[in-house]
Amino acid sequence: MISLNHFQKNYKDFSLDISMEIPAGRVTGLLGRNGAGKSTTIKAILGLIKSDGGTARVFGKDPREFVAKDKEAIGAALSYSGLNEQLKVSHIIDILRQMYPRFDEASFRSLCEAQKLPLNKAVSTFSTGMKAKLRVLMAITHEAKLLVLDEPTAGLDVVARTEILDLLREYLAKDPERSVLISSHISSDLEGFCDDIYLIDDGKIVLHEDTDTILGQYGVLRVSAADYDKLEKQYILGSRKESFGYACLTTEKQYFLDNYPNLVIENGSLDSVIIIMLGGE
Amino acid sequence: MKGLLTKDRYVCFKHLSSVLLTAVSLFICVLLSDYASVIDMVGYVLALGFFFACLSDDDRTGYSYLMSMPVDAKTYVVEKNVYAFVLLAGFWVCTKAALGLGILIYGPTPNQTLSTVFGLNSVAYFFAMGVASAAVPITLKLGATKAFFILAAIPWVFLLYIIVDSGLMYTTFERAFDFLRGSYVRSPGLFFVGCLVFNALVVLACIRLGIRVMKKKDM
Repeated sequence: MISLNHFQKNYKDFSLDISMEIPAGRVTGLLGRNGAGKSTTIKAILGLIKSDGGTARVFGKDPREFVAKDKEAIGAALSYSGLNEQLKVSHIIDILRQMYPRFDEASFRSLCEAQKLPLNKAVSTFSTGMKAKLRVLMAITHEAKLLVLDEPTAGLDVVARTEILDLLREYLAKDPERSVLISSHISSDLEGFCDDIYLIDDGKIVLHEDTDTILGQYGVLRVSAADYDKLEKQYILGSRKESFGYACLTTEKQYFLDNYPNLVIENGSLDSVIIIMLGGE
Repeated sequence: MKGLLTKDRYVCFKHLSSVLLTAVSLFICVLLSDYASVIDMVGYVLALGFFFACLSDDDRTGYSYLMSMPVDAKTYVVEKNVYAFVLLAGFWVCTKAALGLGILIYGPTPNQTLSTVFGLNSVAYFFAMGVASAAVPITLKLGATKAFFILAAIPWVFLLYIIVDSGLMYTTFERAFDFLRGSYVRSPGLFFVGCLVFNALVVLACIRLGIRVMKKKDM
């Protein structure tokens, strides 16, 4: 469904060089620090920036060549761009009805009611959480095959974040062929939601792995500086110096359990992956 | 395109202060004894003001979300021109209504016949349409703030020209006006068609340029 092959974009102080594959029916997370290149990647997928090298394909076509009809199958929620906030939700309904032939107005209205989004108030009067929910509703109610969500949960409390993820789960449950690409710097949001994770840092993918593999097979070894020197490094993905010694990320948790019975080995989590892969050596 | 037009219509009416300004301006114009010459100009300037407000709104909220919707470069640029055309037509009707009100209050001013008003008005209409069309690629290329300063600078350049060489300016305008009036009097139909064709060419050139700029633009 989405294929980026060494898609490159060069800015004055930042370069992106990224490859990724997202098949139909997958929920993929794009995780990284602020400024790592998540939004630029999403812009590349939506055809909003032109390539300085490499290719981008969405539904088998270059997204820069998309005509209006092609974009009907994509739902986007962007944290940095939207419609004028002086508009009311009722105005937005009129706009979406005319933009998308498959816009499900009844569903949009009922979801607005369920999420307590007033139809006759300007969006500018909404709280951050309400605006985020509205952005997601605008993306999921026209039967898009692909959702592209840029930081849909940024700046929200845990309740609002959970409600947004529940909306997305409902959307996915309706059709197994639907795909989602969701970017975030909040790992807990992606951990229970995504099938696989791309970890991006400084414009490059530093890790791509199934979420189940990270949670099941990855482990964090806590070792002293002396023990660290004795470890077999070929199974160590990355390590980070800490106050007691080193935290090492491994994909072969079982190997270390079998061969180093005295080591402290914790289960892997997205947080530990981020901390060691992005903050380590 | 219908969705974009609806969006622009709603955004336009959100500028409530501008709607009030329009009504007040037209009312003040009617109170002037020389209302006929002023009123058309004010109508077109206000229509262009509303149009720039919509362009700058797209620029301010970011093109990213808009272009992730079923909108491509061609749809966007053509819609903006259609919207400018509709907006100018709407204000044309408003100014004519105000003109009618003026005639009811004061009676027709000397040399003011319906045909002259309509004939020369078409020139102003096409000129305003040309400015609106040109504003689209300029805004896409430079952003709303720079585009606004460039477009707002045009009258000041004219003013400077008048100050530097008022005689030459007067002669240039007088000749141009005489030419237009003479052409209109000789053959009103041909004059109108000529204006229409010239304007269509300008608008088409601006649309092509706008699509090109939009396709190259990083959002």
